[in-house]
Amino acid sequence: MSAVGQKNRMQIFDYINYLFLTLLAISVMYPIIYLLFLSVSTREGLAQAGGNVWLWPEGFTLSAYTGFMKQSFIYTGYSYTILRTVVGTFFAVLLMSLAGYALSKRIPFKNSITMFFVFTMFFTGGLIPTYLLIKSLGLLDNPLVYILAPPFLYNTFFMLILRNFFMTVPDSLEESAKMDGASDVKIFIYIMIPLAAPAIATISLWVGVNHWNSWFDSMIYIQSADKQVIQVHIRKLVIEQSALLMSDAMDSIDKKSMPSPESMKAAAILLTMIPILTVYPFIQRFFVKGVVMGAVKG
Amino acid sequence: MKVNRESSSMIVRTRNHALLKECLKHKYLYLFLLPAMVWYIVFYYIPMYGITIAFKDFSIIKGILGSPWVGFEHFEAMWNSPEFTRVLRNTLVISGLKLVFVYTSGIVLALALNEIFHDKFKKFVQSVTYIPHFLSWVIIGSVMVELLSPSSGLVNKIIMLFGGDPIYFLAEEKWFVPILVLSDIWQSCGWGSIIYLAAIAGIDPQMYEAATIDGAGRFRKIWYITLPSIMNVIIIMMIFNIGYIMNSGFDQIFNLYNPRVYEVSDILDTYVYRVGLIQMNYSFSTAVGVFKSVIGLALVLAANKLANRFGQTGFW
Repeated sequence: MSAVGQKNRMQIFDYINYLFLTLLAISVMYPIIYLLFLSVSTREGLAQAGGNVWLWPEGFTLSAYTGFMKQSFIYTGYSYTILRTVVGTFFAVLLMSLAGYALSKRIPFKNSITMFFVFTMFFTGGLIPTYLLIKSLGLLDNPLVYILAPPFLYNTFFMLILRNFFMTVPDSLEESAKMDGASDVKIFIYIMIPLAAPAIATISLWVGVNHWNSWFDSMIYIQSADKQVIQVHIRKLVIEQSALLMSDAMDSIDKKSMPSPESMKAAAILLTMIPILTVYPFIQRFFVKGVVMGAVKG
Repeated sequence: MKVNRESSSMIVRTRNHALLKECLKHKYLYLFLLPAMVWYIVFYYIPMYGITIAFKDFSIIKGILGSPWVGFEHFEAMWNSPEFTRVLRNTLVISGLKLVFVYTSGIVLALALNEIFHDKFKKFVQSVTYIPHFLSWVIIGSVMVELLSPSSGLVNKIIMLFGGDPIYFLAEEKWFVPILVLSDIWQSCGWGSIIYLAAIAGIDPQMYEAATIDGAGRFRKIWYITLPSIMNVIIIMMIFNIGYIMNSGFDQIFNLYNPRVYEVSDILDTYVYRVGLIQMNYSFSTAVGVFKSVIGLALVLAANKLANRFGQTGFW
């Protein structure tokens, strides 16, 4: 549909446009590639090249990665990140689907209940009152907080998207099931869930990515380092430039094959990024569909 | 008269009865909603009650109920504090700049992508530019710290290659805000373009054909057909963005800023965090938070009203 009638004529405008978009794509890809090359470069190789890589690694070693593999924070961090992503997403999507389904039906007080949820999208108690609540619930330093605390278990926006999806299911389907004697619970499990599978899949991916990427709850609610998620460790290592964490990681590596601290940081960043990048090509279209779905109906 | 009242109360009673019956008929649906109601009360509405500590001298030992009321003392202190003036200014400046540059970047990218008639290239650019949206600001911040480092960062190596002096981008006031805006464009332009591309896809191709016959060039077609056709989406997104102006991006700033650039980068959210959770000045911090929430709520309500006026469905 674009540029109708001029399909074969490249104009200056097109060259500039292609160049602009190519540069944009490179600006996303090159930093990742750069970090990859940096992470596998050897200390000597880097020193010879003036401390930097450009288009190829300087030497080759995996010692930055094997060094991290020996660190317990990598294991505990990944475990909690994976655990919260899997368990947290499961419960969030289950509970939000149930609520979204109920809200899609014509039941008394439906609008008041919806408003009760929606209001929290625009007004909340804020950081300190929420923190004090978590504290008084005994959830400080308790990993359950990853799954329970807002905005994870229920997310009003996602719940409304699910509700909108359930609304598109024709009533006749449900009525005929009711005539056959199916209860609300049965209708939900055997009719609604399969029908809503695409919407549920999309919401699951969204919730999953949010869980994977979350760090603030871990930083403020959890004090024990061995209960923190991987993002918090990476933050400490690279952003807060924690010397302690770095020297621990360096100490576990052979003096012979010791990589530079920059390679260590690059490896740490990539270790957190790679899981997202690996699943990304497969899940991308779900996300795009979801945005349009949410924008059109939400 | 008496008869009338009696019958009307009877109607009310039967109506209540019918309502109860209707509710019982759907008891499972209410059961589905029960955990949600409980959760929202506990995690959202109880903290709203916790806002009262902004009007009290809260101490952990005395608890929320036991702490003495002080009225608007904290709000007055906030209003008179030069730090507060600074964070309010920074919040508005950063949000304003992002509104002008970041929000338009999605539109520009959508227009640029729409002019590409090589489908594979278009898909490729789209897929790549969406990636940063899926990375947390911890990751992006880490990458930026690495790339912008004055001693070993790639950007400064390039500057030095051309004979320049290394710049400590994240610690210089004049560089910090431009870096915020640029990195936000980098992170969100791809994702932000999706909604405009969807709107562009809905434009009737006959309009372009007619314009071509009339001799309109590329820019004229963009200006007179594409832009006006997606104007409603542009306006609605603009309004929503204005509604969220009190949020200038906590995750981004928190992962990039440092005391050397507080003067230009400290925003309401980061200030609330530091005063509240680091200095444990709970009441004062909550007062700042309440200020932010109330203004934010008013802005969102106004934005919604405005959106409805433009004939669009707003938030609700």
